[in-house]
Amino acid sequence: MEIKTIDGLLLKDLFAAGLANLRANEKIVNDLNVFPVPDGDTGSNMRMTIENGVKNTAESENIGEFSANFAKGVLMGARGNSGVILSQYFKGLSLALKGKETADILEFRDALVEAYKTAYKAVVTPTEGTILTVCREAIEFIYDQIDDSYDLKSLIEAWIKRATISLEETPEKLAVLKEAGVVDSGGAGLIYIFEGLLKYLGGEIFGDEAPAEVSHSASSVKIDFKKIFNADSILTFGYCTEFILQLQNCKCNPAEFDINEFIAFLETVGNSIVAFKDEDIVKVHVHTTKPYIIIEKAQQYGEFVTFKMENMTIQNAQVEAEKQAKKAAVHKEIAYVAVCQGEGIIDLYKELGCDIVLNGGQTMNTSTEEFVEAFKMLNADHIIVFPNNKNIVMAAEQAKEIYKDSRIHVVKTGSIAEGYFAFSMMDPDEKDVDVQMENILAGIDSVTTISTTHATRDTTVNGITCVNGQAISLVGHDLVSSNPSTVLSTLEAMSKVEDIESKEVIALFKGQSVSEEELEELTAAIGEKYPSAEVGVIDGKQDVYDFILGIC
Amino acid sequence: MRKIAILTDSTSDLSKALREEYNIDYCPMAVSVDGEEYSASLDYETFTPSWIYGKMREGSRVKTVQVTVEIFNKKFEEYLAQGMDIIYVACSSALSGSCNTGRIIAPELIEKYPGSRIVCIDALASTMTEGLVAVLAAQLRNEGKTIDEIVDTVEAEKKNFHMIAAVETLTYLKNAGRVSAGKAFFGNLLGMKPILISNLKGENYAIKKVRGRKASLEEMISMMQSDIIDPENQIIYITHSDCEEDAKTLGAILESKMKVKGIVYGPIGPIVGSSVGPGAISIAYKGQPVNI
Repeated sequence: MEIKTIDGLLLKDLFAAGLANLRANEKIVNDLNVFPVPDGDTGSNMRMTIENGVKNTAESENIGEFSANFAKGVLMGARGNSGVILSQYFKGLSLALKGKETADILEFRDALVEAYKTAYKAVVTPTEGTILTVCREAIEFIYDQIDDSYDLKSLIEAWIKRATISLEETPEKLAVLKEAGVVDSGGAGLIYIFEGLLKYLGGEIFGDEAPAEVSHSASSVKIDFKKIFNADSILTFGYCTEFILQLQNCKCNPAEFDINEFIAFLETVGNSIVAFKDEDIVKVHVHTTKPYIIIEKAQQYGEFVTFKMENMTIQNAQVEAEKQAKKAAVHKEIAYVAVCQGEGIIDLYKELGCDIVLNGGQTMNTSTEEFVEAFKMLNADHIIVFPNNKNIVMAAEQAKEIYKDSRIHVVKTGSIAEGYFAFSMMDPDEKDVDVQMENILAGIDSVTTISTTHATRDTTVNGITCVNGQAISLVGHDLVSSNPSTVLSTLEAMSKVEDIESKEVIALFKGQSVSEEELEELTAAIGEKYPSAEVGVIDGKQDVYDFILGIC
Repeated sequence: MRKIAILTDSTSDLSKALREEYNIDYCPMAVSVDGEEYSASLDYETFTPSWIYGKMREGSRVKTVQVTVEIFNKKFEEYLAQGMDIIYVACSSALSGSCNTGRIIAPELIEKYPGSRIVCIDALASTMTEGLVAVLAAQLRNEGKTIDEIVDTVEAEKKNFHMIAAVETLTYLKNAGRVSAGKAFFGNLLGMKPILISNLKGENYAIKKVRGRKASLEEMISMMQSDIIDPENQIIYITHSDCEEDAKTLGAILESKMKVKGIVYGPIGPIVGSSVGPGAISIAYKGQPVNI
């Protein structure tokens, strides 16, 4: 079947199929990892990002409306750099489709252009050889050939064909990819999404195979419904009641069923009514304190296909609780939100006066929504954010764009160590945000971070041979040493820090998996090699990294 | 006109050379180390700086003793008996009770020496900054100003003399109760070097924290640059507690940033040293009035 007009309903199914196909290939995308370093997997980040759109967007025939809502969902779900770029891609798509009932092929083609342009804007200095290149070339290089003769399927086929070429070329454009012998993971993820669209158009049906997992983005306010509604409560708000009724020939004449008459009846027992009839199906939404009357009446005409009923007193309490939590938060001129991982590090941030510490980091990138939820809990004129990981900075920046009740300031801390040095310069008594930001930024100045972890595969990076499982150390983002001993690997990395002899302060975060003996060995060696530096050991208890060192 | 004696005390950190140059005497305080008292000679006649800092590093209980009534009587009478009046430039009242004691005993001595005058000026500063206030009083006296003129001018100008100090740690000052510091100076302070100023109340006020020693020295100079007046005609005094090398580094940074008439280095005296501990470095100069 040729599809030349796309509406909101079709787009919803297409995106759901895109998500399903990405999910099916998530691990493949995750494995396209440049460094042998454990990190926030691109495939999972992209999947969780788009999943938030698919799960949270109501059906709408209007393509402009649907794509705008979808983009909002994806935006909130964005985590990791690839997720943020993907969310901007969908935002661009929705901008191009804004105000449209449906889109034809040429309009959809143009929307794909707007999509990549918006994605580029999300990145301060766009890097070629990444998802950006793939999504740009995929449409730009076929743009002129797309005309009225194309239908949606052939457009997407052409897009994927060209995108695949671009993807294969990414190692030529980005040296790190070539060295690691992989193609760009974000670009690959995007192609899997488009392949899902194509499969759907080819008639393939995807089941809802979402793995049962607890959403990270659940409301941060937990309420015990027993406190809100119990044996002594009185029903005040009634039930939000929704159902789909299949009209039945044995009970009535479906063709003659009068929806207006039914609505008039609903008005006698409820309010907030939305009801319509579509051939022999009736869809109803109503708020009522007496649902049994409606059920009884409806069953006179047919049987329920679906039925959903919620106690609105509880629903309402959830909303109120969130409002109250915010009000209960003491007003502050400046509040602080940091992302970190490791019990010891989290405690340290709290001790230093951080209002909210989000548990996240290298292997679990915080989403835009998690940031927004944290902001909602605070009652402050300004909120200063410490993402503490280069893959989380963009999600924080995106949350800043979305959240308008406070002014958000993102300190682009790329590591726990940088974050620590920046945050410890914070003056709890300072009320002027400009002065405070100056204090904080002075803290990051000239901090070098060394992180020691374990290689996730055998590879050679920067001429350094890494053996799976063996300790590797990075100075900043560059892998500089590898050694069977985590202590020796760390020391070797230190020797590669420029001007190390003149450094005055070393903050050493001890990971969960290293022993006291290893720590002892490392601190003794540092004391001997760099006697002029003041060394502070913090029992960070972080995973992934044996040692994180902040040197300045 | 009666002659005027200018006196200060052990926290002024005035060297023997300066005291002789401007004809300034001082009332000694005392240091108590593990319960034993030693007179706090500015010339370290009773003990050496390294001995006292060594004791502090070892964790000995080092306390300071303000100028006693006995010492005041002896010192003041020495001049009153010669028919002189006295101006006593005292250590900040926020740091020592000496000024107050001086004011309490003055009326008794005046009664004993009719027609004499004793004026106690609260320098609202310590170390060489207090020293500079005493030097100003002595300069005015040497110019032939009357006691009222001297007191008026010194009172009006004393807070034009600044102190900026970098310390290795606030621990000693906190233990001595001689620092005013906000929350920012407590808790985990790895590598952090506090910078102190002498504020309007005469307290040692922790105004900033800077990471690393070198950075803290640079910050001191940039703070000084922001409010110093007429540096070309000023001698800048740098005093330190057992860290001469850092004092010289500070001087070198200063010379690279601005032209001054000269830099004089000296030790922090035993009383201030006992409060700040080893590793402190302080700079004294004249600038715009202190406004914090």
